[in-house]
Amino acid sequence: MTRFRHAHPIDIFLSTARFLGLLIFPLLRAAYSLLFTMDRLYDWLAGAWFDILTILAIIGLGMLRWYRMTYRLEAHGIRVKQGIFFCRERFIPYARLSVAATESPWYLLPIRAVHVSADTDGGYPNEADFSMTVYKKEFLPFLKQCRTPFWNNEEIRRVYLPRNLNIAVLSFIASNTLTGVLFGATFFSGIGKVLGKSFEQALVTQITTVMQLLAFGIPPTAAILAFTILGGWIISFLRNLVRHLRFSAVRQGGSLEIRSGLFTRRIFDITVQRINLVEAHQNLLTKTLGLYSTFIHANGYGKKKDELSVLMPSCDKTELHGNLSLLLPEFPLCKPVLRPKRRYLSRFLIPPLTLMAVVGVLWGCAWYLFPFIHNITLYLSIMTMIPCVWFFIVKLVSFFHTGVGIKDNVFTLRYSYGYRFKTVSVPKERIVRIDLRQSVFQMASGGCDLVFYTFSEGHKRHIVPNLSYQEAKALLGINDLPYPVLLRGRKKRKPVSKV
Amino acid sequence: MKEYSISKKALLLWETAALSCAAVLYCLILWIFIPGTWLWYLLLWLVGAVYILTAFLFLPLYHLSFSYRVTKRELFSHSGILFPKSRIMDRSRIAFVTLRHGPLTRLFGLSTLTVHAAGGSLSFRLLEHREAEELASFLTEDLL
Repeated sequence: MTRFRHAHPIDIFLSTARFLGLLIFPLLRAAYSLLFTMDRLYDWLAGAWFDILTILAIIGLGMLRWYRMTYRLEAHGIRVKQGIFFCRERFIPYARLSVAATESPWYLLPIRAVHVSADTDGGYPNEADFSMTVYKKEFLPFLKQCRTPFWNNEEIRRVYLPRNLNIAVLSFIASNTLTGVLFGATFFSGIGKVLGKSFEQALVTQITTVMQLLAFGIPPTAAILAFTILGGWIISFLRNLVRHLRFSAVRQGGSLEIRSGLFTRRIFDITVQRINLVEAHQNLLTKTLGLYSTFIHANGYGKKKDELSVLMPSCDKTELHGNLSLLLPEFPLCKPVLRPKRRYLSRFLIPPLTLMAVVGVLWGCAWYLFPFIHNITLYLSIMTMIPCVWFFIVKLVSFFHTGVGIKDNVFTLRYSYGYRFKTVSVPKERIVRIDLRQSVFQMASGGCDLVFYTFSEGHKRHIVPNLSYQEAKALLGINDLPYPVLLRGRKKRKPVSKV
Repeated sequence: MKEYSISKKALLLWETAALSCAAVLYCLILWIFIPGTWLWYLLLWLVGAVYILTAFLFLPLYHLSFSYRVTKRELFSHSGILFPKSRIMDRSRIAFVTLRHGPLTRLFGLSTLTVHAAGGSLSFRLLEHREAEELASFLTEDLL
């Protein structure tokens, strides 16, 4: 049996970085300003002694935490010990792993450090069951040990390599303005911390000036808003692109290995047996083009912030079926046998129409109440009405998309979520619970929503709306449900036989 | 089927914690409030009454309410006085086990065993450390 190993010493800095960042840069800048005036060193120490003590305490605790955190690769699992005051010992069997992952960020390459993590179906949704920064030489034995129960060298190696264009399409679909804006804001505040507030302010002023120059007659406030949204989206797009370039997926035996990343290389070793479901995403644009982005849901893959659990970045319908049967034949997609009836179309359209009406009325009121800002009101009303109209079209298309199918004990669920269309393939044994729910209006029209709860560390559900209640019951094979209380009065009475 | 029970030392641990809390509260009242006033007396009596109820009624009953069982197929845990709760976990769903102890529980030789499974976890609180280790290795054997 091997000995217990410590994490890479860089872990001390990584675990304390967020606390140190608050104090160390102001302290270093102050120290730098005193570099040539050593006679004032005593004054500086007198002012900053508490900050210095705090930094030393943080580093000391970080070192103690590093010393107490050890792991050992045993014959059947990983044993982890950690904690200074509150100690924890954990044993994670290889046979129960759903994902073993390694991440080599570019900034850790020169010091030969790699992040490794392992996850099972249990544990918490926001953290890996085992996660550590280790020496580079240790990550290969780690992956080898973790994949041993599932890897079969005699089986054919099935490889999927997407084109860069496919990855660009995925980045286009998955990019999110808010994520980009948040990243930009964090970047600027980080610059402010390192180089000082004056530099940060100068940079923001420069950007604002450029935005105003590019406004082309649009009100300046509106231009800044529009460019912030566009800038945020571009940042998010580029981050997604860099994250997923050099993507590959390899299936061998019961294991699926996914590699991706241009600068930061990530390797995910996924146990096929523990994949909960496969999800194909589309938005209105990609649906029109007939493109899909496919994701898998396995605990431990796509868990980190901004990480996507990609299986196929983008492909058309033929490629989707072909590659899915190549990589994961356990998750077939089939045509729906249960679809919403034509009379339920209104149920799809009422929510977006209501939203459009509310937005229209609100901006109408603003137009009359604030006549001095007509330009901005008009611009903002158009800008807010666009997503509402978009949502209306999505819901209209969703009516034709929605449905449930079943083939070889694998459900295919088709529904829309927000602005996205989802096609989910989930085996029966990975479904925890199915709810058949009805609103008062659905009770009257004989409709229902089917809610599927699937295996997950957290809470994952799929709502397929507005299906026929009777057909849904028949599909699920349940016929003895109690009659709804509200409709019991309307139930036909049995004719009383005459004596 | 094997029955496990919360250690008797757990009651001692809770009693110590309750006594410490009461002592701290007493000190705070003596330090903050003016001695001899009605509020001072009221608070002292209140803390005393709550401590007596907790230490001599609630904690012993709470300790008695704990029951753990490991069968061939399931893990079972029961606890609670006013709102008793039973938790059952299928052993085939277990993913991994964690053994935890803090500074105080280490002093008393106690450990908490948490069994993680898909969709939830179940804790066997404050077992004797040796017993917890045995149970952890027993449950782990199933997973290999």
